[in-house]
Amino acid sequence: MLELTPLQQDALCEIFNIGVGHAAATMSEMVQEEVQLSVPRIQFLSPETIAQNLHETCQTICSVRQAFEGNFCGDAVLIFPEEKSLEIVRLMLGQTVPLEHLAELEQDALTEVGNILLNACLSSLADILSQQFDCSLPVLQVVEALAAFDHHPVDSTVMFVHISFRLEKREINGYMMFVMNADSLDQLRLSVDNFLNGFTGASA
Amino acid sequence: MQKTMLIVDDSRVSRMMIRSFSAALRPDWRFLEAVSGEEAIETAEREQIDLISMDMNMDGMSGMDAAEKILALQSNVFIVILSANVQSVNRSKADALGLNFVAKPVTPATIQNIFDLYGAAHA
Repeated sequence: MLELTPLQQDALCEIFNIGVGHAAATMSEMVQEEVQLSVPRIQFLSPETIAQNLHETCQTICSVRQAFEGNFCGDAVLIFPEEKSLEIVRLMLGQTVPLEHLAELEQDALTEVGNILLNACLSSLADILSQQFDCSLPVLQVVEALAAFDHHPVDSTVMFVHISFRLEKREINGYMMFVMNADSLDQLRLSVDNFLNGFTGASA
Repeated sequence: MQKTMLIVDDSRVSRMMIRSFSAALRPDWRFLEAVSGEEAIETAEREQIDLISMDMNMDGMSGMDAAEKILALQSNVFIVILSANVQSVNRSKADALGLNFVAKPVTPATIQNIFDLYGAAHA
């Protein structure tokens, strides 16, 4: 599994914090209240390990996926436990939409949350690491946790980004993942090093 | 007298960048660092500080709370909240405390902006 130095790890964490900070501002405008979003940590794991871990906390997950392509490429995926997904929608739309319409808007609303968060983080990655990505449109799926990575090659690695998400004093934990192959991970590490060299003048 | 800037951020990379870009603009200043709001307050208790760049989301005390406590210790210190948390509610909180707000990411332009704000307030 990919090993990063503490400085490389810190740089990626800060890049994602800037991304979710901007996403929180957009979401806060949508819900007209403060949204607290933070990225406490990043890990690199295999798809099987993650699927197993997800399965232990929830059987079914709600995921929004977006493919990205550039110097490094892969799938950016936002995941919530399914039972939390309607709660997120209610918090986002609760005051403006009659309760009976919530369920039908759930897919749209979650896709939009995914769109905002994934794009904000990909933009932050692109801007800070001087990269450019082409992104597909977000796709929402509700799947069994164990099958979450079935269509990814078995040798993929997942950059697993924990996100803590607080709205109206309720805390919901979601996960953002970047599924990449070995070449893309090397490119990612290289671009983090180039970024760090820009102001340290020495390799991390 | 030599001016002192305190850089408060829980990210080591951010502290390094802020320090590197600031030192390029103000080579004659002294730079101190703190990794938390609590450590920033401890530093302000023993050091005379002119300018603080203060991150907002940190473990423990928030940058906003730390800024308020530091202003009670040193009313002349110029504090800029430097944060990726760009929601208008946070800008309003900073305004209400008389603090300046500059959005991350940390770039040479962002840091120039901090020194411009400091310069305008001390012209």
